Amino acid sequence: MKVSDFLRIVVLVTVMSVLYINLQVKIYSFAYRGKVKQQDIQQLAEINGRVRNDIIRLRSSDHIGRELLDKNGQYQFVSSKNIVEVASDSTSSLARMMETGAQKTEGFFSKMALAFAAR
Amino acid sequence: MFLTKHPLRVGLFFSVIFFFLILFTIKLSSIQIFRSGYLSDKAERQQNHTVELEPRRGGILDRNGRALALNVMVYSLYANPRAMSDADKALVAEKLSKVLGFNRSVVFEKLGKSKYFVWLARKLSADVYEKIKALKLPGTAFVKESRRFYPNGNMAAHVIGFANIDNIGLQGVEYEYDRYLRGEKGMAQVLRDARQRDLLIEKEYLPAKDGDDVVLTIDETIQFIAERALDKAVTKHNARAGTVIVMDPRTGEILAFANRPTFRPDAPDATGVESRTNRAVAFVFEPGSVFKIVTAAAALEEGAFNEEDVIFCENGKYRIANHILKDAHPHGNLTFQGVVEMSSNIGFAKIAQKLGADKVYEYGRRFRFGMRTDIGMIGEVNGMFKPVSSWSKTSIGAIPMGQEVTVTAVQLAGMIAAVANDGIYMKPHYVKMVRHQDGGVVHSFRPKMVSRVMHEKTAQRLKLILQGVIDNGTGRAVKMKDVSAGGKTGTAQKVVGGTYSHSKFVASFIGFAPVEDPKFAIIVTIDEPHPAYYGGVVAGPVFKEIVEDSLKYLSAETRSKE
Repeated sequence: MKVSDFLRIVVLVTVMSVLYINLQVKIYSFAYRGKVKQQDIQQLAEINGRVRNDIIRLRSSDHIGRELLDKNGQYQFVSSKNIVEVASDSTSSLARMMETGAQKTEGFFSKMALAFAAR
Repeated sequence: MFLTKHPLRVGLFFSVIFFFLILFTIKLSSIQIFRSGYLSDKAERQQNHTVELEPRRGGILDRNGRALALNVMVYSLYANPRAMSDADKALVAEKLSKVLGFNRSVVFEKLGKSKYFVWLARKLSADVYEKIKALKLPGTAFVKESRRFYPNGNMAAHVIGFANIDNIGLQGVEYEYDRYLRGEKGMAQVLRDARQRDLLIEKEYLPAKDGDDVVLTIDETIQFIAERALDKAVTKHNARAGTVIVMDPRTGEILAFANRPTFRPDAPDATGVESRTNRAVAFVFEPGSVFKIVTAAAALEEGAFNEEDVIFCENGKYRIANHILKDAHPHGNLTFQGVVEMSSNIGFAKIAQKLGADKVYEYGRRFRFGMRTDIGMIGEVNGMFKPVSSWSKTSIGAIPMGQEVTVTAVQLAGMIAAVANDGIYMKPHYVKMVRHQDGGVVHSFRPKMVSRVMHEKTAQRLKLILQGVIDNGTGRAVKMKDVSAGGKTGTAQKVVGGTYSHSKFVASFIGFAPVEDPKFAIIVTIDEPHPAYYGGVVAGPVFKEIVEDSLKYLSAETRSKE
């Protein structure tokens, strides 16, 4: 084999090796960046979890009940006799809005809304 | 030119290069061929790290899917004492003790161990974590763990139970359904860099299997209503303890279940053992007059009495064997219905005498007294309902009025539910289903009919008689304006030192509402109320408040669904 051929092969192998190493390093670089992003996501998930748990606690029967139905409080469960139903035009935009709003509101909040009744 | 002019130098140069090339080849061969196994293993150990993936513990939900217990991710603090100097340890002990409220010596003792890992504080609340994080304590680090969170505080504590710091259930649903709730651990084998930091490259991955959710029959709102009413009564009447059970008589589903004293599931050690005892299934007591329903049911079913049959109540004193039986208020002639409404002990003794001991015992067993209801709660006891062969000469007067027999609150709930359900005894149960966290059902618990205690017609007659107890009799304090209800009061003397006490009572009320289509069967017991102690006065108002508020809630719920 000629020296020039040998050198060509050496250069080729060296270049390929360098490319391979570069790719491997990139993989690890992505892994590190992914780790950082993962930590960001985890932090957001934690905040989300804390907020979610606060919401669950605040909307629990125990919390809402104590807030609204304290023995010194004004609110009480409403009997069906004290609820007035008003027939509305279903095509009116206000009626539609209210209907959509009621549907979106969770069942429990709508029940507790009925507790806001004047004596 | 240079090459040909200085062949020796060129030859020497290439020889040196060639020599080093040989050297490198030998070294490479040594590494790649002869030591590859050893070095691969070492690299494997250094670079690979197996991470245990903790499953998410299943939640405990009420019948409407509202969370009663769930998991939150929190931080726990650990230290590496072997990597800490004495100055570091002193600093950590000083600062940490202030934040956590521990004695310095406690922290110092933990740091004094010759270990790479010691817990300093586990499952910290968010604000404590932030405080400790800001201190930047040397030799310490945080690790994430999950902790149980009970959004309703101590509500339904005896049903839900609690789990320990390692999320292992120790009582209640947390314990009884732990095999569903805990899930299965997974694992991931990740790469680590030279600084022992995990990289986001997984070589192997077995996902954790999250625990299943347990859906109870409990209604969170009715539970709140029941606990609020119970708290008021226990406080108002200075009682030692109390129990409320609300059941759907048609299905046997428990809608509310509460005991006082109670405890916080997130801090069970903060109160004593008594507060954690599930009195509704584990505490037996003589039921007193509420047990008269058994005798009344037997009398009607056997055709021994009709509602209008007249019974002479001896004007308040009646001898049975060597014992004088008395009424709280003396009566002369009362109809059968009147005997029930006025809860005449003498009247019931005469009813029982006509029926015979065997029949009274038979109907007591039909109502499942003396045996567990199999509600599925740990610690449930049988109570005591002795066979006729063990009765004394006075038992025929005592047992029909609820003495010489001991029951649990859940047994009484089963009884009144059977009356409300037209004579069919449904098995009390409090778990509706177990389901995957994505909603797929694992196991569903359907209502189960246990037996028919009496004919439907008999039950309907009895329901009307019990309605009379509230309309005209000892339960008048329970009468509601818009709701029909039936029930029975009970005021049972407690046995103290072998004799019946005149100062310690168990006040009870059991009932159902509405009469025409019972939605609820309820038992209320208040232990040692004073100064007032009558069942109609102490326990009756609890029943009334629960019925009124729960019916309003149910009608509002129906309205919101329409």
